Amino acid sequence: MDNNTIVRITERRIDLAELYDFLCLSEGGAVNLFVGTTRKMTEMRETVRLSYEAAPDLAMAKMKALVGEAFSRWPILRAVCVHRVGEVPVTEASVILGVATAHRGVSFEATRFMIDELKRTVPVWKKELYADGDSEWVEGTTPA
Amino acid sequence: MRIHLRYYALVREELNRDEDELDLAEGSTVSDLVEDLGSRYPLIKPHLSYSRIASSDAYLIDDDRLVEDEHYSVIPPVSGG
Repeated sequence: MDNNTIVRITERRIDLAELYDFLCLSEGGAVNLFVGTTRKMTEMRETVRLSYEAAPDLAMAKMKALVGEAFSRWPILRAVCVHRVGEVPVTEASVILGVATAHRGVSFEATRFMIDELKRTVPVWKKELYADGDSEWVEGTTPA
Repeated sequence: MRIHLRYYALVREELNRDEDELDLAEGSTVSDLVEDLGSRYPLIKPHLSYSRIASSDAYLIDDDRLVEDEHYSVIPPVSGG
């Protein structure tokens, strides 16, 4: 699996082109990518940016595990799972993950699984900074 | 026995620290640690019910025994992605 995955936590802007290029294969017929971005408005409050924090060793272990689980469930050729930490301004990506597969059907299932699993298991936290100067940790899920 | 703890996110902010060292009884479990933390730091006690204790690569369960000099983390409810 290792040569066929990119699993990473980065403080820099995520390079979508790098991940897309990695997923373009001659054996593949589909590239499916999910990009999570910082949204401006949440229930009438304006967000200036999100700030992300991770428990790095455990987060990498959990990200590798969910990618591995995806490989075991679906015929994936390659997969990527990259989470950004630090400040992520509105419209920028906090997470990009996805797969290369021979056929499109499984690509949607695998990508959906990976983002759902990431949100359920990976020790990352986000804090919203609002335009009014207030900030708060986003309500989370007890990780599994 | 002494263990090392790391705190994150809301818990880190409320305690105003990201690292800690605790001396616990020999044979202490995760459950013992959580109870100790709740007594030691009442401010974070409400969060502990929803948090997990983790090693460097796994979430632990209540009955897991802690190891002398090992590093653990308090993982509050997560909100990645």
